[in-house]
Amino acid sequence: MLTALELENFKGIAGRQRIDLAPLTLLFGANSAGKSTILQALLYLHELVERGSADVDRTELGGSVLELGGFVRLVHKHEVERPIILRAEFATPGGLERFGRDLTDFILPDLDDEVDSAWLEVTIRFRTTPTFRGPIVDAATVGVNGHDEPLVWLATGSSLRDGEPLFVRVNVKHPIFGETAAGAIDEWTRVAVSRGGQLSLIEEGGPDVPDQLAAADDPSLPVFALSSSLRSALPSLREPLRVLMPGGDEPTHREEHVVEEVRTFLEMIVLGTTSQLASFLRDALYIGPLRTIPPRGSLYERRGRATSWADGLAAWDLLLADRLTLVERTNNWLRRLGAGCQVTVQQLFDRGAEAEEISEGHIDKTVRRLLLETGGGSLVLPSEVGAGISQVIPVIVAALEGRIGLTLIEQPEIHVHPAVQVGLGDLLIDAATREGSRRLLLVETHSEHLLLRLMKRMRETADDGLPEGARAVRPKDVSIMIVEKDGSRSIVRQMPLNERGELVKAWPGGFFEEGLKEVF
Amino acid sequence: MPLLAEYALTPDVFDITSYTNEEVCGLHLQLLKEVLLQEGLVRDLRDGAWAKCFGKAGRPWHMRGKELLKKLATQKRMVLATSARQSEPTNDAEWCDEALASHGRQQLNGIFVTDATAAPHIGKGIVSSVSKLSGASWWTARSPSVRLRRTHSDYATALDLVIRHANSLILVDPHMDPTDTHQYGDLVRILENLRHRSAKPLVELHRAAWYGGGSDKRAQIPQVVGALTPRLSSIAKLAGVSFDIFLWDEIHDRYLISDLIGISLPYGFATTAAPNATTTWTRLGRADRDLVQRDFDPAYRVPRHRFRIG
Repeated sequence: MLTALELENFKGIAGRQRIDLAPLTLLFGANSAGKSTILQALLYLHELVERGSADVDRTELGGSVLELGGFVRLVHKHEVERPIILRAEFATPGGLERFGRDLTDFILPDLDDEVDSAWLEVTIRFRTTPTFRGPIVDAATVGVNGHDEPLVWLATGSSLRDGEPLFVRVNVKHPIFGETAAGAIDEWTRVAVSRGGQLSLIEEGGPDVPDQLAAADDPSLPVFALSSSLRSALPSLREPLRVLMPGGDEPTHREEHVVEEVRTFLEMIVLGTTSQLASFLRDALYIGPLRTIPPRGSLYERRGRATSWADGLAAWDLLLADRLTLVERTNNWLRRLGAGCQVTVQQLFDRGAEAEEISEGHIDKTVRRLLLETGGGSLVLPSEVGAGISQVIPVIVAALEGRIGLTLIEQPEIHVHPAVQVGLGDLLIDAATREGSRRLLLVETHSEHLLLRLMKRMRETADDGLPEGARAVRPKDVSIMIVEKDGSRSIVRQMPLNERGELVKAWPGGFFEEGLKEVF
Repeated sequence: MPLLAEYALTPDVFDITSYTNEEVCGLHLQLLKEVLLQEGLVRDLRDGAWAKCFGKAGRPWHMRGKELLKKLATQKRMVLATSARQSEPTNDAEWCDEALASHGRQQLNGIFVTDATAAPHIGKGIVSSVSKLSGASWWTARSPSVRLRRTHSDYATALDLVIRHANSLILVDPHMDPTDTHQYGDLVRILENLRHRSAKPLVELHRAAWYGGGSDKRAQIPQVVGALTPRLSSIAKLAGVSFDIFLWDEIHDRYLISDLIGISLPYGFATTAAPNATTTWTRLGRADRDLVQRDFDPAYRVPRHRFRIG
């Protein structure tokens, strides 16, 4: 579960900006202020941790809807000498993976249970060496359990040639080691490539410890070398970690044990935390700002069709494939929102089906078709009703079907009537709080109506006066952020709500005062 | 007249038929809008029954009035008051009586009514028709600034409504030091009044990262944190609030920024025992209030240090 995101030099954002996330996070701000930037940062982060790729254009989650344009387009002011820094803070509710290791004799035998949260900070730089030119994840830092001080620092080597190891400095003075592990950790320096401030080469003429690790505040902390198939400070999640001996020596029996211990530690702390973040982002669902009105052909069920949530078409496929309650639940929400139509899935028999097969209801001779009922029994295609329906149905389906994890939505209110926008507030509250707050919805919106409903439900929750069917929502469930331009940079400010759903701070420029300005 | 004032209005002020024509109604509401949204609170009489009047069908409320009421609500400028008379008002005259009775319990700064409702109350200075505001002393006494003695009494009075109703209190004063009882003891007493509130506000304290009266202006974070924490902890406990403390390298001006008002205070929050010491507080325009709030937002610039107590 992601709890906060920090960005630096990413698109319009220059200095470090922090976004505290809640089960429902709403991003407000003028056009071009940088709201989408925050959603895009998460898509980019997913690519970084999943694939180690820093020059990202198309993303898996963004599909054909979103083009990031690569590092040069992503770095602030397109100044490639700037590093992009992304930091994610997240809970690790199930602890850390042990990667099949027996921790009985490990210096931290309960490490898997002792870590309940972590943060990962990655620095993406454009690097130029004799053998490489391009952006990479140049450095990464991992911390745990809410401590600001890092537990490990990772950095790429200076040459970036193929096969160059990855370097990692371990903060053996971190509170997680405690006093009992102190003696055993001393032994770790036996396999460190840097110890007591003295650097030792991996091999004669080979790469040296990178400057950013060698010049750390505390040079006494040991640095280890890891084999790596990627040009990235983040090791591949798909390969086992391998600790390299300094000088390329064969380890002694004792050193072998130490190597295993260091490897186990780094597997759990680096791969264990990063893989949880990757998994959370991998399961994310992104709905772009303009959903496609489903073309006629897509309204017939077809197995194996790959559709995307980014353009909303995946929602229609889910409805077509539904044999349980999704259509019914979607219709309940369409009714509740007053959308003026219902989804109908028809089961039609093939033209070539025999009468006997029809009477016996042979499923393999049927095809399913989706239509909208607009009242009085008239069935129409989505393209034959107002555009708002095709925009809102993917939002409803995502809210109902989205798994535990992250759901990113741009402009849920687009093309829909204010009365429906108000109801969308209830839909989002429902989605964010239904799974015991284990979902995270990050929504970019301009809708005052949506926010007003949210505030009203908070007030009703505080007053114990919620109407039937409405879900309780409290300040901890909601994060309201305003993204605004300040010269050439964007800043992201928190606008907290109190228990009664009231704004705590003054909303810059007044709270949606356009109506007031018009009538006065 | 305080920089933030509390008013009551009778419903007919928003009713088109109370005026000779709709345009006149609109013009009066225009005048009220500026005052109420910048420097006012509106007493929602009888535990909110007053605001509920406007949800009832039957009266032609001016479009400007409806929009104004919405904004008063979302900006939290409507403050609930308990019923002051036995029976629920059934007309505008009775709402005026209710407002007067409420004023008797807790002072209002003015009651806005229409000509017809004002007629029986001529001579009661607190009631004025919106068409005759120039004759109301409380209206003409309004000012963007107020002259105060630098005493607990004057500061507490000036801040009374803010302390009772604001959702956020952002106090900016480079020298603010609650351990200095001579200068800031009165501020502590004022903050301790937050204990009476059921819904606690956000309280941010912004001060310099250096400490003491010398010329050394280098950051002394451990000293500042160490000096402030014990006293602020006890105040936080008594008042039932948390303090978010921000330490800045560059800080000079003094402000109180809240969701209801922004005030510039040249002397900061320090009071003095010196006789006849005075200061002038100035209400910030809303745009400036927003800018100062942004200036002290960590998203805008990074403080040297921040910590939380309580």
